[in-house]
Amino acid sequence: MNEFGNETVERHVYPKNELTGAEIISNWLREKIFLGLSFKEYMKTLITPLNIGAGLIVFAGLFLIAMRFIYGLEEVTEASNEQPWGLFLTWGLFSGVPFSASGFVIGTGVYIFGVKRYQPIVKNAILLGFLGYLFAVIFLMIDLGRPWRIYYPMVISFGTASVMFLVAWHVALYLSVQFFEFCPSILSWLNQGYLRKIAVSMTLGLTIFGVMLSTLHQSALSAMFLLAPGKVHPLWYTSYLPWLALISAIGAAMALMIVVSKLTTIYFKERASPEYLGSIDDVTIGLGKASSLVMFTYLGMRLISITHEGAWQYLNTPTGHWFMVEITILAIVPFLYYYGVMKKNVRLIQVTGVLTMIGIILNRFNLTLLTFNYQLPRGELFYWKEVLVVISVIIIQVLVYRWIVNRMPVLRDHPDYPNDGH
Amino acid sequence: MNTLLEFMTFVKGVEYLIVIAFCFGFIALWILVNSRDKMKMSTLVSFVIPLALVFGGGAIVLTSSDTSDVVAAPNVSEVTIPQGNIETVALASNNGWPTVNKSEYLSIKYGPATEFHKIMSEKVSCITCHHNSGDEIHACKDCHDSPANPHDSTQPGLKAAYHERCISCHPEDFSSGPQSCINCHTGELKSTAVVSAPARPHQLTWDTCTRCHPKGIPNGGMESKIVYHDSCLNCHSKGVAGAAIVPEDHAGRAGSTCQGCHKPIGG
Amino acid sequence: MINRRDLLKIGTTVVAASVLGSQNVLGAQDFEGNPDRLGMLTDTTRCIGCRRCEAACNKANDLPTPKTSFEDTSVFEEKRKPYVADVQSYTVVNRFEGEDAKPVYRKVQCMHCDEPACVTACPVAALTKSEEGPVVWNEKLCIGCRYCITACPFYVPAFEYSSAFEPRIQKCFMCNQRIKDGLLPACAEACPVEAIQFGKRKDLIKMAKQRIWSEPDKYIDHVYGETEAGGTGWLYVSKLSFEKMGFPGNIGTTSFPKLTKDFLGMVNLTLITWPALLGGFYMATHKKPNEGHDEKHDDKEDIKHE
Repeated sequence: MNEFGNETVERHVYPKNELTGAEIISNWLREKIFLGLSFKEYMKTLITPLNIGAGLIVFAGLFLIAMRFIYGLEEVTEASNEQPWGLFLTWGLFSGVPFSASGFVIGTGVYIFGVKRYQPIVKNAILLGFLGYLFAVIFLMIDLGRPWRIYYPMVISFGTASVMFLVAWHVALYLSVQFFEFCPSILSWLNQGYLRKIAVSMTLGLTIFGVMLSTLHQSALSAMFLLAPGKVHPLWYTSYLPWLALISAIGAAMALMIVVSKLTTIYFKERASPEYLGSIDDVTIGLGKASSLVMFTYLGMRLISITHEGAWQYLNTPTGHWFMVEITILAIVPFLYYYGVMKKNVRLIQVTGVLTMIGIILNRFNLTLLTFNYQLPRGELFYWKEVLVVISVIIIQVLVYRWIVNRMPVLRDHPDYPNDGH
Repeated sequence: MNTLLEFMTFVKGVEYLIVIAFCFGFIALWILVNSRDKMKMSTLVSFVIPLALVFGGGAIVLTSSDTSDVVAAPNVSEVTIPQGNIETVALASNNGWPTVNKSEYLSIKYGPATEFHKIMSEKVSCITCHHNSGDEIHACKDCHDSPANPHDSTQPGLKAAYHERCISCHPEDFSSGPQSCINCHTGELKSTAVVSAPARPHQLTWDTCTRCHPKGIPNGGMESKIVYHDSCLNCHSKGVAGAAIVPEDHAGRAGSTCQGCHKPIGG
Repeated sequence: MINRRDLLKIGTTVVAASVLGSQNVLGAQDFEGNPDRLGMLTDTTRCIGCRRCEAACNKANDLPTPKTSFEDTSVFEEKRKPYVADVQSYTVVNRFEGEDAKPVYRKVQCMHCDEPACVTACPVAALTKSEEGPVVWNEKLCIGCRYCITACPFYVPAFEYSSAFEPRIQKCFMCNQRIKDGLLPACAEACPVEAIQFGKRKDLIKMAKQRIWSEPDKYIDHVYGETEAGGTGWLYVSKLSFEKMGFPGNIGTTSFPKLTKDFLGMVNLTLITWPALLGGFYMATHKKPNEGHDEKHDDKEDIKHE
C-alpha cells in the first residue's frame, strides 16, 4: 500500500537517470547488438535455412582448423616441400588482398582527388578493404607454421632483404590504417561524437599513408615470386610482376565495388539509404569507365611483359592453352566495360565485373598454385579439407560483413552526422 | 661486407629508418605549413619532430658505425681443421655434441692379419700394398693421416687409403652400394679379383707449372694432355731451377715411385 | 593557405633527394664473399653408394632411426629427398644409371649457396649465411612462413608439416657446430673413399679443377657449384652429366638476391615520393574558403570537383 491507500503494482519503470548497471548494459545490447529486439526475438530471426546451412559449414571449418592446430598442417593440406603454399595463402592472401585494394582506390578517389561521385560507396569500400585484409591475416595465421610468432618481423628480428618482410610490415600497418579509416562509422554507431570528429580529421593523412603502403605491398605480393624464376612458368614470370600486380589490384578493386554494390542493393536494401540506392547506377557506370581504362592498361602491360621475356614460344603447350583461357577473359573485359558504358547498360557492366573478378582470381591462382613448379610432375593441388576451411572462412567473412552492415552506417548516413561524407 | 646479401640487408635496414624519419618530417612540415593555430601546431610539432630525429639519428648511427659490427661473426681463422685420429678427436669434442664414434657407424671386423696376409701374399707382392717406401715395409698409418687433413690433399686419409688400395684391384667388390661393405666388414674377404689398374697417366706435381714456366706453358698446356717431366729426378737430383733436392731419408726409393706419395692434389 | 610556391619547394626537394639518393654507386659492385669460407666437394666418380654419410648424418644430428636400415640397397629404386618420408638424415644418396650401365651415386643435400635464395627470402633472418660458410637456421626466430622453400632453386629445405607446435625447417647445415668444435662434418668424416672432402671453398675449387685437368677422361669439364646460383658452397665433379643426376636444369648463374634487389630499390623511392605527389595534389586542388578556419583536413568545405 502506498501513502494514498492504493495498491501499488510492482512495475519496473525507472526514471532514466536511475537505471541500474545491468539495465544500462541490457538496453545498450538490445539497441546496438540485437537490432532493437529482445534477445529471444533476435535469436528467432537468426534461424533461417541460409543461416543454418552457413552455420554447419562454419562449424565444420572451425573443427578442421582445430585439427590443424592439434595435428599440424599435414592434417588439412597436401603441402609438400615442393609446393609449400596451398589454398589458404593462394586464396586468402594472394587473391584476397588485390580485392581489398578497394579501400585505397575509392578512398583516394574521394578524399584526395575529390571525386564526389563515388562518395556513396566509399564507406562500403573501406569496410570491404578492412575485412579483406583482416581475413587475409586470419588465413595467414592458419597457414603459418608458428602463428604466435607473427609479430616477429615487426619487432624481434628484421630480414630486411626479404620482400616478405615488406609485406608483413605493410599489411600490419595498413590493417591499422583501414581500421582507423573505418572508425568514423564505428564511432557513429557507438554515438561517440567527439572521438568521431578526431577520426574524421585523420582521414586525409590516413588515406595518403594508405596509398603509400598499398601500392607497395600490392606489388610486393607478386614480387615475392621474382625469387623463384625456375618455378614460375615463363608466361607468368616477368620482371614486371610487381607492376602487373598493382594495376590488376586497382582493376580488381573496382570490379569488386561494382559487384558488391549491386549485391547490396538486393540483399541489404533495407539497410541502405535511398540516396545510396539511387546512386548505384551512376557509380557503376563511372567505375565501368575507369575499369575499362585500367584493365586495358593491364592487358597492354601483360602483352609487353610476355614479349619482353620472350615467352610467346610457350603458347603452344598445354600450359600455354590454359594461359589463353586466362588472357582471353582479361582481354575481353575492357571492351565489354566500354560497350556497357557507351550503351549505359548497367547490367552488362556488372556482369563484366564478375568476369573481371574471375579473371584476376584465375591469374593469381595460376601464378601461385596452378602453374607454379610447372617443371615438376603434377601433384595434388587441392585437398577437400583445405577447400572446406577456405569456404567456411569466406562464410565467416560474409557473416561479419552482414553483421556490421546491419548495425553501422555503411550504406547510409547516420542520422546524427549527415552529409559529412564519412 | 662480403656478400651482396649482407650489403642488401644492411642497406635496406638503413633505408627503412630514413623513410620513417622522412615521413615524420613530412608530417611536421605539413602541419607547420598548414596550421594557423599556434598552440596545436607547437604541441603536434614538438611530438613529431623528435620522432623524426630519433629515426634519422638511428639511420646515421647505423651507417657510420663499423659495418663489421653489424654482422657479428667469429673469426674464421680460428676455425681449426682437425688433426689426429678419430679417437682423440672424439675425446676432444665437448658440449655433449654426439661424435661419430668409429665403433658406432663402422662395424669393422677385419679377419686376423695373418690370415689376410697369407691370402694376399699368394696373389700379389708385398709392395703392391706397402707402396712408395722402397724396400721398407711401413704400416699404412705411418704416412696416411686419420682423419684426413683437408689442408694437405696430396694424399688420401687413412680410411680412404685402405679402401682405395683395395678398390684398385677389386672394384667389383665395392660397386654394389652398401651391400658390398659387408664383404669386408662382416663377412669373409673374397678371393677373386678383377685386375684393372687405375690409369693415371697425367700427373701434376703439387705445385703449379708456373714455378718453372712463369710466363705460362707454351701452347696453353693446361688444356692439352701433356706428359711433363715425369722423370722427377731430372730436376730434383740436381736442384735445377731451385727444385728441392731429394732428401736423404728417401734413399732406396726408385725414381718411379715419386708419384706414389707426391700425387696430384686430390688425386 | 598553402600556395603553389610552397608546394613546388617541397615537391622538388623531395623528388631531387630521392633521385640523387637512388644513384647507387655500390650497386654494381660484385661481392666476393668471405674469402676463407668453407665448402665441401663431392666427387661422384669415387662414391660407391655405401650410405655411410647418411648414417653418420643421422648419428651426428641425433635423428631417429629410420625403418629401412642404412645397409638396405632397395632404397635406391626410387629417387629420395632428404628428411622426407622415412629418410632420417639431412642427406641422401641417389643412384643413377651411368654410361656403360655402371651405377653413379650422387649425394643430395643443401648446397650452402654463397648468396642463398632462402636467406634472401626469410623475413625474420632465421636462415643466415654464417661467416664460416654454412647456411644455418635459428629455431628461435622461425615463424614457419615457408618462403624459403618457395625460393630455394634446389628444393632443399624440408618443413615438418606433421608438427603443430614445433614445425622445424630441416636441412643440412654442414655440421656447423662440429666445425666450430674442430671436427670434420660427419659425412666427410664417414666417407670411406673420400668422395666428400671438406675445406676452404677456394682450395676445393682448385682441387676440383686439377682433378679434371689431370684426368680429363674421367670427368666432365665443369665444377658444378662454381658459378651456379651465384656460386654454391657445395661443389660437384662428375662423369655423368649433372642434369642426369637430378640437378635442376634451370638454375643459371645469377645470384638470387639480385632478382628482388631492383624491386626493393623502388620501394623506398615510392614511399618518399607518394606523400609529396598526393599531398601536393590535394593541396593544389582544395581551396580554403577563409583564414579563420582550422583548415587542416576539413571536408565540409567546398571541394573542387575533378
